[in-house]
Parts: sequence; C-alpha cells; structure tokens
Amino acid sequence: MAATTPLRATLQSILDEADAPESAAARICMSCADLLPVTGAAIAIAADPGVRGTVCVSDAVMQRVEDLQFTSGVGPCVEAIATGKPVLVPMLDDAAESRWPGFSAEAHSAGVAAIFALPLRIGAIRLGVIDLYRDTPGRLSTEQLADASLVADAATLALIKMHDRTPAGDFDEDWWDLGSFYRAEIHQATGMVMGQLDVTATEALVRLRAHAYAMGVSTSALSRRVVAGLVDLSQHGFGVDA
Amino acid sequence: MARDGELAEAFVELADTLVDQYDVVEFMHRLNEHCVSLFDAAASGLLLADHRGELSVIAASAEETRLLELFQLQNDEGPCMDCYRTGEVVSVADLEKETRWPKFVPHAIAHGFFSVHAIPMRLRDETIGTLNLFGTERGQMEAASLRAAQALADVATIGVLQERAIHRAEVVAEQLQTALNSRVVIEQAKGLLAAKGGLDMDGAFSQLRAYARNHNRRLSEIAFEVVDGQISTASVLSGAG
Repeated sequence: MAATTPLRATLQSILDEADAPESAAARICMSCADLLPVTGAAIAIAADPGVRGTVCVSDAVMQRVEDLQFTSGVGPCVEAIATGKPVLVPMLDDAAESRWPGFSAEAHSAGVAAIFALPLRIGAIRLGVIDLYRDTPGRLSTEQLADASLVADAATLALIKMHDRTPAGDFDEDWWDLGSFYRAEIHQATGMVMGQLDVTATEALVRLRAHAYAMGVSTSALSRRVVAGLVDLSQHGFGVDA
Repeated sequence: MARDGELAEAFVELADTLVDQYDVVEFMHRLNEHCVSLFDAAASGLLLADHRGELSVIAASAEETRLLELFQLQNDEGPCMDCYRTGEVVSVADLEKETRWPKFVPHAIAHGFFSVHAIPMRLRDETIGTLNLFGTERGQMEAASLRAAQALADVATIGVLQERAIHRAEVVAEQLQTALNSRVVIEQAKGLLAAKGGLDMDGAFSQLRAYARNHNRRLSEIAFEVVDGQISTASVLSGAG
C-alpha cells in the first residue's frame, strides 16, 4: 500500500474537502505551483480522439498553451493523451525540439520554457492529461517527477469522480492504488464488468465503484468477488446487493 | 543448476527479442518462462518499483490469480521488498525456518513453496525491481545459478528500459510507468476476455498472447485495442483475425 507522504496527505485533504469533483480537479490544478517546482498547470479531459476540454488552468500562460494545443491539434498534452505516455520537454526552445510545429515557438513566446504532460490514465482508460510548465528551462529530477506523478494520481481520481455517482469526498484507500498493478483485481473486475454489461472501461470502473459503495464494501473486495465469479453485475439492478 | 547450453539459448532468444520492436510485458513473460526451466523453479516473477516506491508485478511465469497475489503480497513484506530496499540478493533455503516475514511466509507455504530467491534488477546504484524465484523444494541456489539469475535480472533491466545506455533519470521513470500501465491494460483485457469467453485469468492471458503472436503485434497494443473496442473479443477468443 502506498506510503503516506506529506504530499499525499495534502492531496488527500484536497480530495476530501472538495464539495464537487470538478472543484477537486480545479484545486489540484491551482495547487501545482505550491506542491511542485513548476510555474503553473492545466488539466484537460480526453475525448476520442484528442482533447475534449479544459477543466482548469492555473494562469493566463497555461490558458494560452491550452488554446494553442486545441486549435493546432498538436502539442505535448495532445501527444500524452494519444500515446498514454508522459511527454517531458525540459527545453521547449531547443533547436532539436521540432515535434510540434505551430505549437512550440508560440508557447515559448507565451512564457513556457519547459513543459511536462502526464497522462491521467488507468490502463486503457484515458481520462485526460495534466500539463505542468516552468518559466525557466530544466529537467525534473527523479524525485520531482515522482511527486508530479502523485499529483497526477490525485487528478486521475478527481476525473474518475466526475463520472461517478458517489459522494464527492468519498475516496477510499483503494483509489490511491488504482494506477498500479497493486490492485490487479480491480482492473480484472473492470474488464469483467465491461463484458457483463457491454459498457466501456470507464463506465465499468464507475459501475463497479458505485456497486461497491451501495453494498458498503471496498472496491477491491467487490472486485475479488467479481473475479471469483461470485458477483455478476448484469444479474443485479443498480446498487442492489449481490 | 542451470545447464550451460540451455542458458546460452535463453540469452540468444532474449537478445534476439531485444533487437526488434518488442513488447515489455511479453519479453518479461518469456524471461520468466526461461527462469522456471533454467533454475528448476516452480514459479518466477518480475516486480518493478513505481513512482511511489511500491512493487508491482510486471510479468510472471503463470497468470494464475493466486500466484500473482503472492508476488504482490510482497509489497508489504517479503524477500522482494527486502531485496529492493537493500539492492542485495535475498535467498531463503527453507521458508519454514524463516521468521522475518510473518505474513508472507504462511501464504508462500500454503502455495506449496518452500524456498525463495529474490535477485535485484539494478541500474548502476539504483534498484528498479526484483526477479523472484519460488521453489517447491528446500535448498540454496548454487553459486553458478545465482550468477546466471543475476545476468537474467540484468537483461530484464535492459528490457524494461529499452535502451542500453539510458543516462536520464526521467526517461527511466517514464519507461517504468509506461511498462506498469501496460500491465494494467493487460489485466483489464484479461477480465473482459474472461467474462466473454468463460475463461479463468490464465486462460484469458493465453488467448491474448496467442492472438498477439499470430498477428505479429505487441501484446500491450492488442490488450489496449481489445479494451478500447477496436478488436472484438470474439476474434481474440476464436483466434481469428
């Protein structure tokens, strides 16, 4: 189980105290400059294909970056969503940085010296992306990148909650492990619920979570029962105990 | 004891894989299969550390849920966690005499395992994960076998990082995260195929792997496309295209 670090405790309290998932995402976004060695941040939601919309931007520079990526259809955040992989650009005006014509030069003149886009994903579920920028160039150290990934985990939880029907402050321990194999049973059960209900992976995860909530058990406990074949969500009305 | 000819063959096969575009999870799965046969192990697994310092199973010699749980249990305590923390080999010849891990040992014994060896996956002075071998018989690994196992763990490190001379820490972190997320995608695909095909998780994994092989595609890509609905579960379950 994930160790409780000061950063995680801070993120947990943001998630717990938010009155709605949207505001949890926004507060995480606005806190990035305090929590990480970055100047600002943005969180965007993925759509198929590309970016559907921005949930939050921390400042005008980030607003400009999001607009640029939205209109040009290219950029680190678009790439992170498409590939599901982190896109780390420590020096945006590097001569070798020619990946996104129409984006890099504009973003640099807007004040972005370095940009890091971390996908918000749970396996094949691609929820969105968090963009972090710096007004000075430079890499993130291993520890800084680990911290940024933890912030991304929290943002992922906030976005999942935007699909969810459970109360806003209700994040159990399982959720922190969602992005890792540590809760393999949740990922296996997500797949099984997809098959049982013929729904997307996102919907399956949300339904699994909602059913667990209705039954008063943890998501991983319900998942183990689903994987063992003891619970079939297609055999139950929403929220009805197995 | 690892037989020299077989060991050489394993390295040649793994090195061949590394030349082409390859899939990390598939590569690791094969490496585990080699470990089981080379070291007469009952089970083999590779665990990687994520950005929170937690160990996650990236691949194992079998996909049986209970076995994966046993590997995963070591995130709390066990030879893998100790190996990861110290960067040293942790070798237990007789689990029944072991007192360090009161939670892990009964689970391992209940599974029929009586010896365990954890070998670090090292990148310079850093440990990025561990190779874990379980035996149904008691006994130490011979020095020659331990050296061979360490060599395979080193190959696993190369396989995960996908580059022989990675010099940037951020690339290491990125590769680890991507590999671990691939593993999550595979779990989702296994669940979907299990539900649609009435299979257990090991059976679902075999179907997924066979499909990827038949189509000469990466396992993780196939798993993603199955979960994303781009490949129908029916075609994977029938082995057709």
